[in-house]
Amino acid sequence: MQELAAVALDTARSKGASYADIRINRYRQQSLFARENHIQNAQTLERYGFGVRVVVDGVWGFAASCRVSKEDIARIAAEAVAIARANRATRRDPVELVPIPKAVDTWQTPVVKNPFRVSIGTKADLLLAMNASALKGGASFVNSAVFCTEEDKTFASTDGCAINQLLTRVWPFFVVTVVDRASGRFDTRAGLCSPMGTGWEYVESYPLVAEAALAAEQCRQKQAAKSVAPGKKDLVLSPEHMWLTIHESVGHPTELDRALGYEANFAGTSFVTPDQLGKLQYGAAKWMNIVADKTQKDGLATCGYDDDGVKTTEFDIVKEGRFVGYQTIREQVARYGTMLGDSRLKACCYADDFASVPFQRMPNVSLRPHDWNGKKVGPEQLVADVKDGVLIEGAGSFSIDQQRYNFQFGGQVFWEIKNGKKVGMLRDVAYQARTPQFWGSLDMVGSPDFYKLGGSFFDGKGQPTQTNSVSHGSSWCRFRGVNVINTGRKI
Amino acid sequence: MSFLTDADAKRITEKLLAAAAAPETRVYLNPSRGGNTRFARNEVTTSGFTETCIVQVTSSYGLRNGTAQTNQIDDASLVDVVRRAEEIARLAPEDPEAMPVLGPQTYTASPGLFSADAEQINAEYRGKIVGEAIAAARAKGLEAAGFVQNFADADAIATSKGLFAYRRTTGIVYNLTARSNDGGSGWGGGVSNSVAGFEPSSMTARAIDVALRSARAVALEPGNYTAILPAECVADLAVNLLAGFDQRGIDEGRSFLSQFQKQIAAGDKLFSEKVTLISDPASLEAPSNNFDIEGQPLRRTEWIREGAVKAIACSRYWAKKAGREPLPGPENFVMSGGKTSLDEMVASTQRGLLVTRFWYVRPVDPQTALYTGLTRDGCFLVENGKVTRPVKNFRWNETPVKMLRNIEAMGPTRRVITSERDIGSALAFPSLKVTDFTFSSLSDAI
Repeated sequence: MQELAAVALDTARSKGASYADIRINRYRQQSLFARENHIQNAQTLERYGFGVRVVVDGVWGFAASCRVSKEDIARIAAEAVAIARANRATRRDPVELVPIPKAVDTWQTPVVKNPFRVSIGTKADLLLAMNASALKGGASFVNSAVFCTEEDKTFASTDGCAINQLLTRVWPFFVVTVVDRASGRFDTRAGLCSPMGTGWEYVESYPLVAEAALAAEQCRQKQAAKSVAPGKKDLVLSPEHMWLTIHESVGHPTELDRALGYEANFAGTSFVTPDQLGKLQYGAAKWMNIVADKTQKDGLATCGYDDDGVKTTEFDIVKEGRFVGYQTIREQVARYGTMLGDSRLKACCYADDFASVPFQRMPNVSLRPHDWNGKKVGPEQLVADVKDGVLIEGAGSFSIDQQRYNFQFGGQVFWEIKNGKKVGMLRDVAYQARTPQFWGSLDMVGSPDFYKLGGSFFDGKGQPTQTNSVSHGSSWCRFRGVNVINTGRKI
Repeated sequence: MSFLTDADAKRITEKLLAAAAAPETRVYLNPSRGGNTRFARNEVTTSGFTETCIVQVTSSYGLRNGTAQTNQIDDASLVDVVRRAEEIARLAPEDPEAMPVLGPQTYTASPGLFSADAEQINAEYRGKIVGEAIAAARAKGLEAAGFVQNFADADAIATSKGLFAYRRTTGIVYNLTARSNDGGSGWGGGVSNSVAGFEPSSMTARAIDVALRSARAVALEPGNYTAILPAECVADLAVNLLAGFDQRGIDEGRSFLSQFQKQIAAGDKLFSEKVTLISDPASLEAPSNNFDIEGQPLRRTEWIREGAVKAIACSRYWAKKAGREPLPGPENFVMSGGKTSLDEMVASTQRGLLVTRFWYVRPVDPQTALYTGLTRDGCFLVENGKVTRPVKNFRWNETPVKMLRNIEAMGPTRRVITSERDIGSALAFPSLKVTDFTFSSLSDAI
């Protein structure tokens, strides 16, 4: 591998590159899909190849191929240099890279049971047991799946970095559907089990079969649930719901590339502009503490080094309600570190494939739980002080504008709260809010006992679109006076 | 890497099938290469070239199936991917819905799918588009961000029953957002399978024009307005609607169309009689694939004619079980248009909103095909037949069923890209003027 990497770096240097790196990566994915009482498909996918990134005369160039030979690596490295040269005329400010510690290291996701060594039969049995449980619980239909992924990554750069990493992730998933033929109504309820950066032991530890039965029961309840009366209501939100709200309304707006306009054409920009660093009151001072952490246990974005070769770390984004730090990558530190007064290396660079250009991607971004001096504070305590509200479990429909102001979120299960008690299930619920007002209305965060990681396997960003796996932790939260809408329609 | 011709593809598929021990095997090849250039803040940011080749093998032992994939095409890797597919198939439980692989088929030609000129696009060509866009934006005091991507690929499918299908595709996509320092933002973009007739300069000009006109937007009360929607917005919503055209989902009671089964059977109009929507691999307006991943032929299909549902996709398994004819899902959409220009739509509108682009369109309720999303990059108030001022963006909650019922006027059909999908889009839609579109809250985003 070292010899192959050397071909890329030597070729790039000899053709005029001031910096070069190569990633030689193998990706594996195994997935099984089931519906009702049978397995629909079992897949094992592999991709292997390399990408060479260069800086020539202050301009980036990139090229990649699945043909991993010395000849092809030299050819592709030369192509990357040629591409950089083709773009010289349209580069305004030269790319500069701050020095980083030379890393020669290996890292791998801590895994007890390698999910790729768990048999197809075991995985199929799990899915069929989940489905049987859902059907016994009254589901009309149930679809389930399990995904296991592995990134075997080798990174080498002209800075002297040589890093091997093995990243493992798993995700068991299901969704039940209940159809009432008489009324023509159908409802769904997806499982609340999140993907994780860990091994099969997580899948074994999660009560999937029991949750499938509960999901079917709740889905049946949805059919007879009351349609929500719209208006300003208090919200009590579960960790399985909060992860997506954090992701969309805090994770993305605090990416520096968005804030500066680098994603203006697609993902969008951000209301969190650089002049607001250290000044913006993002949310409630007592409760809102948001941390980014690419070293977090079980995090989907957790790794040892980012795709710049920078060692991963933890840093604050919002502290006591105030915005204190952007997510950044190496290149941005050189260019904008002085302007921001923040030159820390935060290791947020990632490419989703050997053939993808590395760029800024979100680390695990989480809301710290509140320390109640050892007292357990969860949904019961949060509901107790709500006169008119909705408790939401699980993530559902989601949409947010291109500057991350206006969002609308749904959920999986909605419970009406009246005078401090959960009184029955609701349907047709979504809430709309403006991000700073929403986080300003946060008035209680649960204790660490209820803290959970949620996350996504498929966070999209960039052109061409790349996907990033990322986790978000939270305890239960309460927000006051949020605009709840009724999504029921007749067509 | 030289491109795989049909002879190369045939040779590789034959090697894969020869290595197979399973009773039935289907193989799929997808060699591809392409480049892209991104720019932002009036300068190029990243640019790249990639080449790869997907090799996928599905092996069947009776009702047991397994699929394996690699991107290596040396002999050892080809044997290995077959071995892995067979191993997983032998271990998998039986799938009672498994269908046998297909034998030889005949396919409609897709003459617009491949173009030699698009295959030759390189970083210099993309750089020229980017350079001209940046210069045009700078000249107007604007900041531009955008993306140019080109690709060339091939798809080949072969089965152990003698099916062999091969096609080549090329494409180029360009889009950009121009922004002013006083709150203006405009977007332009397009996609084509060939360089000939592809005019990035008109897309750049559109983005710049809207950016200049959308600055200093004022807030307008949310509510239900007449909406003038460019073809891109119409496609954004209509494409989602058509995902519900699945016979199994309808029969199982979990499609928004389930509630309309009697009306569909009676030939009643569910939409405005102005709506006719087809898919057709031979379309030159939006060239598309002529076979699906199973090797089934894709043919011209009328999904909606004059407001009535005329066809619903049906998988091979469900067709067998329900006694129907299988009908593969569409891979392109062409909606018939009219002759009303956007200016004419504005001129005939007492009070309404003229939209440039939708964004972050997501499902809310599958029972009513309700979607939510936002306006973006230029939203304008129309009063008494004139565009009077730019207004702040809105979140909307609306179902495409209603959009396609409330049509007042239609523009000419043109090829478009939707808000979150660009390369590979095979969509041709008209602009529409529709009544009673639900804009539910304000967005401060620019």
